[in-house]
Amino acid sequence: MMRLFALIFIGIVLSAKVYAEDLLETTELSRRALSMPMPLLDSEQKLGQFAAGRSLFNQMWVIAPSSDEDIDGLGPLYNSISCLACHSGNGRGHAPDGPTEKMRSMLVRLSIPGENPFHSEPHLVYGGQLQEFAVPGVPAEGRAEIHYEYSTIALSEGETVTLRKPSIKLVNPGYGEFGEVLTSARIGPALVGMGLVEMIDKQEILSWQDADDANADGISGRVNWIIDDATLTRKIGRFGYKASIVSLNEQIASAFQADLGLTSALFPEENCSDVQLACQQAVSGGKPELTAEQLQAVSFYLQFLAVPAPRDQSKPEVIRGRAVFDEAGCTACHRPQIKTSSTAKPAAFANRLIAPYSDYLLHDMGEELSDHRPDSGATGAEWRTAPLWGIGLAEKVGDRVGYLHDGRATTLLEAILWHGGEGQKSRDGVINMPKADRDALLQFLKSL
Amino acid sequence: MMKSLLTCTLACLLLFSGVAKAVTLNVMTSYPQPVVMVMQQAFEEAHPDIELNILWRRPHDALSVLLQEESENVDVIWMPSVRTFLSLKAHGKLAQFKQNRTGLPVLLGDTAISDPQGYFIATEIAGYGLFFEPEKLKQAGLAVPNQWQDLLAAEWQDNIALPIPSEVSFAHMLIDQLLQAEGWQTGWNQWQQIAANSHLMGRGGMFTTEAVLAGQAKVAFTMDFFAASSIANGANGKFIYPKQTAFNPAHVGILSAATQPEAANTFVDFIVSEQGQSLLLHPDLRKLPVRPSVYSQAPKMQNPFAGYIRHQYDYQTGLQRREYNAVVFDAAITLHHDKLKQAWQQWHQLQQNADADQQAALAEIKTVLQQWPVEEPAMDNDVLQDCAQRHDDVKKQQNCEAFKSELAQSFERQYDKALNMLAQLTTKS
Repeated sequence: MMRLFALIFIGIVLSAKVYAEDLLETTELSRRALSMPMPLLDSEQKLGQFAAGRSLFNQMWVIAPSSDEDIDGLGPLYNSISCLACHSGNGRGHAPDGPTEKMRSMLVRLSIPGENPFHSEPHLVYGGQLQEFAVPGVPAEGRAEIHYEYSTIALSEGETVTLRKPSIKLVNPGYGEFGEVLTSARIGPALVGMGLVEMIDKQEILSWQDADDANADGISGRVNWIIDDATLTRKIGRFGYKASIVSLNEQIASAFQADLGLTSALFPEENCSDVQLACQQAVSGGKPELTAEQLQAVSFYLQFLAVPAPRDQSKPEVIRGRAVFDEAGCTACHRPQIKTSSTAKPAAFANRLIAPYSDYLLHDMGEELSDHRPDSGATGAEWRTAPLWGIGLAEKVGDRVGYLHDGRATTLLEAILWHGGEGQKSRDGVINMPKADRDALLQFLKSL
Repeated sequence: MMKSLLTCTLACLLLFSGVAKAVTLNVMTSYPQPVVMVMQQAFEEAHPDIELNILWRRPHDALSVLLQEESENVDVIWMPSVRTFLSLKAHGKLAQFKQNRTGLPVLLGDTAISDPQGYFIATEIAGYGLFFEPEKLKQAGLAVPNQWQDLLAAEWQDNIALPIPSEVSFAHMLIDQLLQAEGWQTGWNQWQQIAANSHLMGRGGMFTTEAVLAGQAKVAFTMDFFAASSIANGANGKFIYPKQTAFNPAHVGILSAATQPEAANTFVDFIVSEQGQSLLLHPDLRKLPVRPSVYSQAPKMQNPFAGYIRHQYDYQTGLQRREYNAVVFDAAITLHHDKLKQAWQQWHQLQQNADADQQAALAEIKTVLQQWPVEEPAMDNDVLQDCAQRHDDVKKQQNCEAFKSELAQSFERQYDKALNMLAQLTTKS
C-alpha cells in the first residue's frame, strides 16, 4: 500500500515538473530560441504586453528634441542606440578581434585606483563607464581599443587551443587625458530566465556560501550583499557579472541610464560627470526619459522570456558529458538545480525547480581572469558564477558570440581553460581528461 | 638613415592619424537595429577609414529635423519613406548623385523606383502580401488565397489580421494599392468586407504575422520581409504575393549640406553594390534587393523585376492621400468595427438559405452597407490637405477631425440601418 502511495506521489511530482517546464520553457531551436514568450502567458499577453516590451527592447532611441517624445532622450553620452545592439537575439555579445575593430556589443567600465579591495570610485571626469558616442554638440568620451596577447595551451591527446588575453587601451579622450584608470571590459550577457533568477529562494543561495572554504573543497563562494539605499537593508546581488544588482527592474534601468543615456525614476540623473558641462546642458528627453510604463513593459518582456529546454538529454554523449561535468567539479559552482521562493511573483514562478547552472555567488577566478578593478563589493578576481542555461544556443541566435565577461573566449572550451582560482582544479581536470570525455563535456554544455 | 627614420616617422604618423581620425559620416535612418547592424558592420569593415554615426529618427521626425534651417549635421539619409525623399528633394535638401548605376533598374513594372533626376536611389524594395501557416489553413478547410478579393468570403470570418493604417504605418500603402487597382468605391467596399472578417491590429509592438503564429488569425496582411525574416528565423509559415500588389522602395540620398560628400558617396556605392545588396539576404533582414543579379543567391526569393508579379502603383497619389485614407478607414471601419462585423456576419448567415424574396432584401441591405458617402478626393481637396498637415497645424487638425466625426456618424447610421433591416428579415424568416 505504502509503495502504491509512493508511486502515486512520484507520479504527481513528475507530472507537476513537466507542467512547470511546459509553462516556463521553450523547445524552439531557431534563431528565435531565446526570444520566445513563456507558454504560461495567454495569447493576449503574448501579443500585448510581451510584444510591447519587446518593441521597446528593440527600439532605436532618438536624440531629443523630437516630435516622437515617447522615444527620445538618447544620450547625451551613450554606448548604443538600442538594447538589442548588445543583446542580439537576447543572446551574448562579442569582443572585437583587435584594436581597429569597434566594440559593437561590448563596453568598458572605468574607475580610479584606491585602497579598498572591494570598491572603487568612478573616474572623476569620465564616470563609471566609457561612453563612446554622444549627441551633437557634446564630445564623446573616447574609444576603447582591445589588444590581445596570444598563447597556446596543450591538452591531453595532443589537442592544442590558442587563447587570447585582452588588454584595454583608451584612446581619443574627449575630456582630457584619462590618467591612471582601472578598466573592465564587458560584453552584453545573454538574457535568459531573469524573472526566475529574481525569484530564487534566498536561503538556497545562502546555503551554498562557504566564504572560508570550511569544507576544504577549494570552492569558497560568497554572496555579494548590496545595501538598499532606500531601506538600508542588505539584499543578495543576483544580476550582473559582479552580482552587484538586486532586482530585474534595477538591472534594466541602470543599463538604460549607463548604456543608452535614458533616465528613469530609478536613475533620474543623466550620465554626465561634474566637469562634462556640454553633457549637463544637453536637451533632455523628459523627466524621466523612460517612463514607468515603459520600464515596466521592458521588465515584463525580460521576466517572461522563455527558458530554453535542454536538448538531447538521452544521447549517450550528453549523458556522459553530464557525468564529466559533475566529476570535474563544475557543479560545485554551476549548480544544476535551484528552487524558487514559495512567495515568488507571479505565483507561477513559485516553488519551481529551475536549472540555471549557477549558484549566484562570487568566486575568485584567479589572476588571469582578474581585471584588478574592485567593483560594487567584488574584488577584481571575483566573478558571479555565469549561468549556463541557454549557452548551447548562443551561436544559434547570434552571428558572432563571445564567452566570459569580456568575450575573450570564442568557444566554450576556451572559456573553461580560462578558469583559474577556485575553478583551477576543474580546469586542470578538463586539460588532462581523455579527449572523448572533453568532447562529451562540450556536447553536454551545448545541450543546455 | 636619417631619411629612413623620417620616412618611418611620417608613415607611422599617417598610419596613426588614419586609425585615430577616421572620417565620421552622419547617417540618418529609420531602419531597425538588425538592418543597421548588418550594414554598418560590413561597411566599416570594408571601409575602415569611415566611421558611421547613426542618427535614428522616424521618417516624419527626420523630415521635420532636416527641413529646419539649422538642422543636425547629416550627410546621408537612408530609409524606407518615399514621402521623406520627395519632400527633401522639393526643398532642395538633396544633392544629385554621380554614381555609376550599371545593373540597377530604374523601373519596377512601369513605375520609377529611383528618382529620375538622381537625387535619391532605391536601395531595396518591399512588397505587400499574405502570411499563413499552410497546415493550419488546410485543417480549417481554407484554400490558399491568391488575390485580395478571396478574403471577402464568409469562411474567412475572424480569420484575418488586418493592420489599421492610422496606427501601423506600412498599412497606408496596403490600403491605397487596392483603391488604385479596383477604383475608389469598389476598393473601399472590398476593404469594408475584408475588415468585417478581420481582427484589426493597432500599434503595440506585435506583428500581424504573430497573430497567425499565436493562432489568433489564419492569414495576415503583411510585408514580405516581415514574413520572410520570421520564416528564416524558424516560423513555420508561408508568404505569397497576391496577383496584384504593390512594392515600396527604400532609398538613400546625400544631403546637399553634407560635410563629408566623398564618404557619403562611398556609403551609397556600398549600399547598392553587389556586396551591400547581398547583405539584404541575411535571415534577420530578408529584404528584396534592387540589384537583380543578387537574386541568383536566393533562389527561394521571388524577384519582382522578373515581371511575374503585377505591380501598379502611383506613389504620388498614395502619398498625398495617405492621411485622408487613414481618417476614412477609421471613420468607416475602426470606429464601428463591431457593428460592421455583426452586419456582415448576419448577412452571410441569412444568405445561405435565402429564398428569392429574402435574396432581394439582402441585396438591398448590401447596398445600404456598401453606400460610400465619400467621393474620391482631388489632390487639392481642402480636407485632404488639412488631414495631410493635421500634425503641424491645430486648425487643420480640427478640420480633419470634424470631417472624420461627420463621416463616422454617417457610417454608423448606415450600419445601424442595415442591422435593423437584418433584424427585421431575421424575424420574418
